[in-house]
Amino acid sequence: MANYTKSTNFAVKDTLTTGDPQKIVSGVEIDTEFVNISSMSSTKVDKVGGATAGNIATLTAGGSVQDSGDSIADITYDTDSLKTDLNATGSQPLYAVRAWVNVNANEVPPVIRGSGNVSSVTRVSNGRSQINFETVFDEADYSANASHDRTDVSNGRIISVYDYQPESVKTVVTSDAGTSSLFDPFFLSVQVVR
Amino acid sequence: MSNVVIYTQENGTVAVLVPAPNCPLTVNEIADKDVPTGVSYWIVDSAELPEEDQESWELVNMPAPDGVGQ
Repeated sequence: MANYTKSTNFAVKDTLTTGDPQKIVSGVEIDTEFVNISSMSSTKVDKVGGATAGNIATLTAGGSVQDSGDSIADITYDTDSLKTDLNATGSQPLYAVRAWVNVNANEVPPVIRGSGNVSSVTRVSNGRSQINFETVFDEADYSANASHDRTDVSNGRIISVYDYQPESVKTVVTSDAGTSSLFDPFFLSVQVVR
Repeated sequence: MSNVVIYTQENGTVAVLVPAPNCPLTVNEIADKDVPTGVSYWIVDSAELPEEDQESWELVNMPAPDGVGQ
């Protein structure tokens, strides 16, 4: 989008003496200026003929500006709106899950069904898994929760979260019968809140 | 099958590291980051893992490692 650039300084011609050939304004000079103006104007975007104040301007496929019909106010998302959309009533602040994973730890190697901000899962040993964060935390002061699907009435399972590190956290699933038996759950879920 | 990362842990047992499918990093980048610092690792096809208990595995006669934990 080139701006208009004047090719001829017409004002300086007024200072020239009569008879000086440069004092003449020629048709070529005038035509050059019109060509410059034409070139400039053809590369500029047209102003929208009618628009609503506060609406968002968008581009057409041809590169022209148009009124989108959407107000900038429509995309302004305040905290109260966010809490309402999340059904988070009350004045308590919101905190987010910063990492999560759903993994089948009963396989060797484990199978990650889904995850967020998790780069990998390490099967440390039978019953023990390490969740490695894609983007590590500044400190290991987050809150990690874990659950599993290994349940039966006669012999429940306990899952523990341990070894909190900025870059990883570990889980272990054991028997609740006071034994040291370790188990690999089909569904191991971990969420990290910060 | 998929590539996994194996390395020997401080206690002598072998760990198996599985990259998250949606992680944008390469397997090497993940291994560099998630394998303990200074520990050699190997990237192997998961189908090549032994069927015995993981606790019984030993990494012997291995080729040159694919990298070292950073």
